[in-house]
Amino acid sequence: MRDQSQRYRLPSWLDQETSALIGEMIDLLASRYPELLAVILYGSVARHEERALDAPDCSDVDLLAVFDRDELNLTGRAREAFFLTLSPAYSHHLEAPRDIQFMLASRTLQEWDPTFVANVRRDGVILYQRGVLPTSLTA
Amino acid sequence: MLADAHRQKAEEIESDIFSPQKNRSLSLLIEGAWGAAFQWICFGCQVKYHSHQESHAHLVSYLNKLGEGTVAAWWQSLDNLRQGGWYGGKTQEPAVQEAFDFLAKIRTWATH
Repeated sequence: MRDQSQRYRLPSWLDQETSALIGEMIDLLASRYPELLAVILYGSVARHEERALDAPDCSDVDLLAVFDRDELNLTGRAREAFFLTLSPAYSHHLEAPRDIQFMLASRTLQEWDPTFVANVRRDGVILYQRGVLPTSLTA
Repeated sequence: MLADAHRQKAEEIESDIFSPQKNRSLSLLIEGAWGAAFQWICFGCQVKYHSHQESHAHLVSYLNKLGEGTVAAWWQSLDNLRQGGWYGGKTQEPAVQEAFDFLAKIRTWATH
C-alpha cells in the first residue's frame, strides 16, 4: 500500500489508520466525481490542536470537499450518494480511531458563512487538488 | 437505555418537531430530526443486533461494522445538514424537508 500521508499530504501527527481511511475516501471521491476540485483538511487536526486519541472525546477530522460548480444545490439523493461513495472506505478501515466529518462546498463557497470560509483559508491543508482553486480559498 | 426507551424518546422528539407551531427555528427542527434519528438508530440496532451505542461518536464506523452502510450514509447526510446549519448561511425550508426525509428513512429501517 502506498503511504497515504505522502500521497495526499496528510499531516504526520495523524494516526496511520485514520490516514489510510482518508486516503481511500479521497480515491473513491476523485474517481466518482470528476468535478471534485479539492479536499481540504481544516479544524483542530489541521492546526495540530486536536484532542488526543485517548481523550474521552478525541477530535474528529474535518474535511471540506469542494466541487467545481457555481452552486451546490444538493438534493437528498445526491447527498446520500456522496456518503454512500465513502462506505467501502469505512468497511476497509473499521478500526480508524477518529471520526471523519465531511462538509461539501461549491467553487464559490457562497453557501458557507464568511467566518467559516476564513477559518478554512487560514488553517486549511489541501490534501487533494484538481485544477485551480477558487480565490476565496487562496487569497 | 433499553430499546423501548429509545423508541419512546424518538417519538417524543418527533411529536414536538412535527407539531404545527409557527415561527420555529428551522435549524432547531433539523437538530430535532438529528436527535430523533439517533434515538431510532439506537432502537433499530438494539432490536436487530442486540447492541447499540449510547453516543453518536464512532456511530458511522459502528454501523458499517454491522453491515449497515446505507443507514450510516443516511445518518451522515443528516449530520451534514445539521452542521450546515451551524456554519452555513440561513437554513432553508428544503433543508428541513430533506432532514425529515432522512429521519423517515431511518425510522422505517429501525421499525421494519
